Order: sequence, then structure tokens, then C-alpha cells
Amino acid sequence: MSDTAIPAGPLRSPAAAALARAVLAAGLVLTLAALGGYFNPAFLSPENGLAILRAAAMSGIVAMGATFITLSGRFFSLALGQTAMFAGVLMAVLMAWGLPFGLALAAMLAVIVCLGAVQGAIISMGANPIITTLGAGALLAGLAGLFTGGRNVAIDSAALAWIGNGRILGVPTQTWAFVAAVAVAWWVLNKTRFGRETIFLGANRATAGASGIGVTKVTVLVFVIASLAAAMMGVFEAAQFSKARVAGFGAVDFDVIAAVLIGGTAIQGGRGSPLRTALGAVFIATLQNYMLLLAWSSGVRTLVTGVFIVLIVAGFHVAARRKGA
Amino acid sequence: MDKTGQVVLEMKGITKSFGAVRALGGVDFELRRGEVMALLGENGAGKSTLVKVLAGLHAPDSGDIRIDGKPFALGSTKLSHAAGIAVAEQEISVIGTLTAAENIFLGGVPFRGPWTRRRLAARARPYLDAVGLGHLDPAVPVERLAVAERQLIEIARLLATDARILILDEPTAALNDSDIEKVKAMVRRLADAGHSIIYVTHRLGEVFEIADRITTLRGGRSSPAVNVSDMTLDKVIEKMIGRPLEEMFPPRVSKPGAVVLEMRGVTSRALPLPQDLQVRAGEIVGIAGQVGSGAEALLRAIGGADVVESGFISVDGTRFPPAHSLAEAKLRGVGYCSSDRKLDGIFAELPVSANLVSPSMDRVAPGGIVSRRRIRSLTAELSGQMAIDPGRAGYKVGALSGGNQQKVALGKWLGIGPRVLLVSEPTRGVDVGARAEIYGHLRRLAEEGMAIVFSSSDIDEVRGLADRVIPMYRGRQVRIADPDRITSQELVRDITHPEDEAA
Repeated sequence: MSDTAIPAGPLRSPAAAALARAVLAAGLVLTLAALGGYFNPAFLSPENGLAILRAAAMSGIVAMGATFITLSGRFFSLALGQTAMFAGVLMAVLMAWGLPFGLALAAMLAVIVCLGAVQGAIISMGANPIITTLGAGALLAGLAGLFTGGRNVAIDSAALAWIGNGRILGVPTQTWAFVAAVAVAWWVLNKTRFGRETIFLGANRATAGASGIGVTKVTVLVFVIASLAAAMMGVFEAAQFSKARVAGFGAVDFDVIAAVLIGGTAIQGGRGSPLRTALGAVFIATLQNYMLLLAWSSGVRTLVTGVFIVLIVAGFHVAARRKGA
Repeated sequence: MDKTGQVVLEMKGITKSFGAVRALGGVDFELRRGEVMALLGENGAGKSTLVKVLAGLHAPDSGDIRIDGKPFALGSTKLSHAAGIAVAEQEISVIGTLTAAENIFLGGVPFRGPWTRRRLAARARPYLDAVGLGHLDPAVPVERLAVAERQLIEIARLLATDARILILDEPTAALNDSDIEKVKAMVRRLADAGHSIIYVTHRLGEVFEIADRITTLRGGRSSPAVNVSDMTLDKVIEKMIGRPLEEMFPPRVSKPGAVVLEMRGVTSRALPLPQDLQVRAGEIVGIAGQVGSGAEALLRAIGGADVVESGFISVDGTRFPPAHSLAEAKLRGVGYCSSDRKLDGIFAELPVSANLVSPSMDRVAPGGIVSRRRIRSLTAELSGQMAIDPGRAGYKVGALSGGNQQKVALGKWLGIGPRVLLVSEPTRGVDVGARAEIYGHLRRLAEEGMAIVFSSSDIDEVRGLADRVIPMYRGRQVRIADPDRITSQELVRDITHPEDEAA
């Protein structure tokens, strides 16, 4: 009887909607690739494809972690670029002190886990995530400056040099790491209790709390995961050039947020997927690569990227509103 | 008072359908100058649709509307405005950071030339006077005012649009007793000043205090308006639900078992006076009380939503740790459904199945790894218990009717094998048919051995469903009563002005 009440909106199954969005994102990347190939055949060469994936890998890996933050309803972290920088510098400094690679890596990761956990704990107590992470980022930048006096730190390690420049089956290590990160993120989100609870938290934090879900635990974990992803990027960056740089990470947070948003993850949380974030990262890398091939100036490249981001995110917003009407 | 004022609004044979659902099936309605007309009906009876037709948000499918005796076509907010109709929504919609005067003139400033605070304040003054806020500084930001004052500002805003017909949709729903008095006095004053008022409310007691006539809606049809002086509370209720009250509720099968829930001397910030309570297996205890009476706060304290500051709570003889959390209460078999389903009862954007399994992640994700098979089987099990259409497991809960949403909000707790179920306002926003169904489910769960405590501001719900009734007033349990030995009138008095508190 009660089922005959006034229908409150369309009853489309969420699985179908998710599929539609994934197809849309993939279609966008393919269209761009086809157009690019038409105007510039070099764009479609396998070597360029690998270059694009390698470029996408760096911000893509961090974006995998950031997706968890956004999905859990905590918006974004603005500390991820500085976390990546700090991870590289910390490891370089530890190795310069004579620690072997493995030990330096472990020590660095331990510090990064603590940093993420502290941010998550502060935020779960009610602090604004944007402000908290902005502060954390400034803190890390300051610390790195103190350690290094503002100079890059050279690393002399064969293992790291391989991590930065090696290839497996002709594919750069960064790309493998990106693929692995996407697979792990997807698995954690879909197959683990923690992943489900992340979605619950983002969908409605009050309901999650009232259902006895550990809101603090999940919040701490998403910031730890994002920090670890950023550290991964930091290690790769340092390894590639055999030195840890203290600058040059300013655009990371922007690229990461752009990838998450272009992937269609709801900014208020609860809806989204790491797969689509990965497509978002690839899309941005493809766009930027293509503009590089056209030899457009960096100002124009940034402008065009910005326009695309605004158009796509606005498109998602309009689509969501129409569905909700 | 002149009760024979001329007819300002007349509606005849109004119909309105949404798809296959007929929300209004021939409604007649008449409103006279200077009268307060109570518009009553159960959830889903068509009250809100009728209000929306008057507000111009819905165009009626058919029917005649006359304003001051002349035919008038409603159908847009502009036309309603031209007809002198204004609606105060249920949710107070004043803007906190703006001043009282600015809020009154949100719809447009009544003068040309520069907008100064002083000019605005001068213009706002008469409207503030009209709603009994003459003492207020028009330049005070509304966020500094009490809830009742905000409600009055909202009504002043309607007056500023030169409205003659005011529709107040549950203006007292969120107010406490003394504030309710302010609003009621203002309503009476406006009517005496010649405004016509349509007063929508669930608090039937108010009707007898301020209304001149009553129009009841049931199943989208109206019954002719009657004078309040010719009615009794029971007659009004019977008109609203169309049958004697008793049939709404499942029969009591009184065979309470051992004590399951016990609380002794419990206090919380919202409950300064120590509270005792014992509930046995198979028993349904109904706490009656208005907003702020402590009825909901009692459930919140047990469920862990509010911090318990002293005293103890035990379930099956096992004491809770001090200041227990929601998660700790859940661990001991306590499920808590708040009165605001959308706020913290459901994940509106997630599918039914995700909602149903959300408190039971231990069961569907053993060792932290989610098992789809277990999610499916638990979803099927809980849908079956609550009679939720299994075909809708994949649909967003927010798209379901209020009754189905409530079944999900209740049903999700069954997955933890609860010993105690705490339900605040079990049928808020639920239509008539689904209400009886939800009462049936709660009774069945009690019979299966659960201890159920619910709080409600609906007197008839408390009397009809509970095995024991506890009226609460200002944080105090007035008494513990047998529902068959206490009348609605006594219960209303207990939760508004208990005898021993008469001032």
C-alpha cells in the first residue's frame, strides 16, 4: 500500500548510473586521443602513449590516495604536494646520514604515517580539513627548509636510480606503480570493510556515527592512505633525478584535485571511484601532452586545462542536479 | 468576535494527481475574513498538496477557486501573491546573518532610493508590532533571536507582502511551550485584525485553543468545515483517520519476560534530573513528550548519542561503560533510530542494501573483507523481516516513500540482533497505511523478545502502541501509566501542564 506514494525522483539503479559515468569518462579520453592523432600522428605513437601514462602516474598515484579523502566527505588535502616533497627530502637526508636505502624508506614511511594520522585525528575532532591540511603543508615546507637550508639533497643509490628510471617489459616503473595503485585502491574501496565505511562516512557522517561506524578510525585511515600515496610520489621524483628537490611540488595539489573532480567523485563525498580518478589523471596528462606537442606556451596550456576542468565539473554538477530534480 | 465575516477564499472540487497517485480527489474549502481555520489530516491526507496549490507551487487539475467571490485561477506563485495568499513553510527560512528588518523585506524593499538601515528599520516597525515583536531592535541579526522569534519574523515577512490570507504550516512544530504561546497569541491577534489564517498543525490541542473552524482532509478528500465548539478531540481524530483509533494499532500480547534494559539515576546534559527505567523483554514502553521534554533525550542517553554523565545503564544485566558511545551501545545490542531520519537515520544517496547492512559490517565483512554473498543474504533477510520490496535493494533510499525509508531505518538494526530498540517518533513523515504497518512490525519485534522504547509527541500513537506509557514534562517522568487507564486528555495535560506543576 505504502509503495504507491508519490514517486520521489527517478529510480535508476546506482550500478547503471556508475557505468554510464565511467563510459562517459573513457569516451572523453578516447575522443581526445582520436582528435590528437588526426592532427598530429606522433601523438598516437606507442612511445608517446607511454610518456603520457608516465606523466599521469605521478599525480595519478597521489590522486588514488586523495580519492579516499574526498569519498569520506573530508573534501581535499592541500598538504599532499608538500608531503611528497617532504618524503623525498626526509629519505635523502636519512640516506645522507648513512642509513641504508631500506631503513631510510621504512623510517620515512613511519614518519609519513604519523603525519597523516595526526591530520586525520585533528580533522575528525571537527577541524576543517582544508585549513588543517593547508597548515600541515606549510609546516612540512618549513621543516624541509630547515633540514636542507633550502638546497636540493643529492642521493647516491643504485636501487633508487633504478626505481626512478628503470623499465619492466619496456614500461617505466612509475607506470607500473600507478597501475598497481589503481588496482589496490579499487580493491580496498570495493572489497574491504574499511572501503565501505569510507563511503558510508561520505554519504552521511551523522548516520554513519549513529550506526556505530568508527568515524575517527576511518578519517585517520583515509589521511594516512593519502599521505602514503604522496610519499610514494616523493620517492619516485627523488629517485628519477637522484636528488630530493625542495621546490617544484606546488602544482601537485591542483593536479590531484583536478583528477579527482574530473573523475566525477562527488565533492561532498559518498560517491565516486578510484578508476574514474585514474581516468581523470590520464585525461589531464593527455591534454597537456598534446598541447606540448603543439608547442603551446605554458600559460596557454594552463588556461586550456583550467577551462576543461571547469566545463567537466560543471557538467557533472548539472547532470547531478537534473537527476535530483 | 465576528464569526460571520465574508468569504474571502472558496475552493470547490479541487483535484490534483501525480502520475497514478491522486493527491487531491475533490476538495472543498472555504475561508472567511478574520477567522482561523485549522486544516487537519494525517500525513499523506493531502494537506501539503492543498497548501502547495494555494501557494501556487502546484496547479490544480480541475476545480473552481474564488477570491472575494470572483473566479481566480491559481497556478503560479505570482498569482497567489496577487490573490493575497502567503505561506509560512514548516522549516523556518529566515536568513540568520541578516537583520530582522532585512529579513522582513527579503522579497523586495518597499521604497525607492537608497537603502539605509534606518529607512528599512522604520518600515519594518509596524510589521514587527503586528506579530508582537514591537520591543525588538529591527537591526538585530536574526541569528541572535530565539526560535520562536524567528518564526514570528517569518510571519512578519508574510504580512509585508500585503497578504490577507496567511497559511501557517505547523508553525509550532519546533517550538517549546512558552514560545508556542507567543505564536498562538499572535495568530489570534492577526485574525482579530482581519487576516484570514489557515493553520496546519499536528498538535490537536492547539486547535481547540485558537481555531474557529476545522476542515479535515482524509485520503485527498475534504469533509465540510465544522465549528470548533461543536467538536471534541476524539471526534476530530475519528474524522482524520476515518475509523476508530483502536484499529490503527496491533493488539497487545502482554507476556513480558525478564528485565532487559535497566537505567538508574542516569543524567546527561539534556537530562539534568536523574532518570530510572526498566523495560522487559516483549514490552513496548512509550515515552510521551513534546520537543524539549526530555523524551527524546532519554533515548539518546541510552543509545549513546548523548553522553551519560552519571548513573548507569545495563542490558541483560551487563553494565555499560561510563559515558558510552553509540558504537559501544550497538555492541551491547542497542539500536537507536532518531526522530530525524534524513539527518542520521539513513544514507539517502546509497542503495537500500548498503543502508540495511551498514550497522552490521562485522557480519558482511568477516576479517575486514566484504562478502557480496553475505551482503545479499543479509539484505534479503532484513527486507523480508520488514516487508521491504526486495526488488528495490539497489535503489537509493532517498527515492523511497517516507514509510519505506522508515522501514529501512528500523530494519537496519535487526542485523545486529538487537536486545533493545530505541525509536524516536516512529512514524514521523510516514503516511497512514504505512503507519499501521510500522506499528505491526514493532509489536512483532517485541513479541520476538526485544525490549522496545519509543518516544513520541503524538498522544494517540503512545496510547495505542505502548504497553506502558510514561509522559515526560521538562525533563521529569510525570508518571508511569497503563495506556488503558489514562485518557488522551489526561496524557495531553501531563505533557503540557501536569497538575502538580500548575502555576
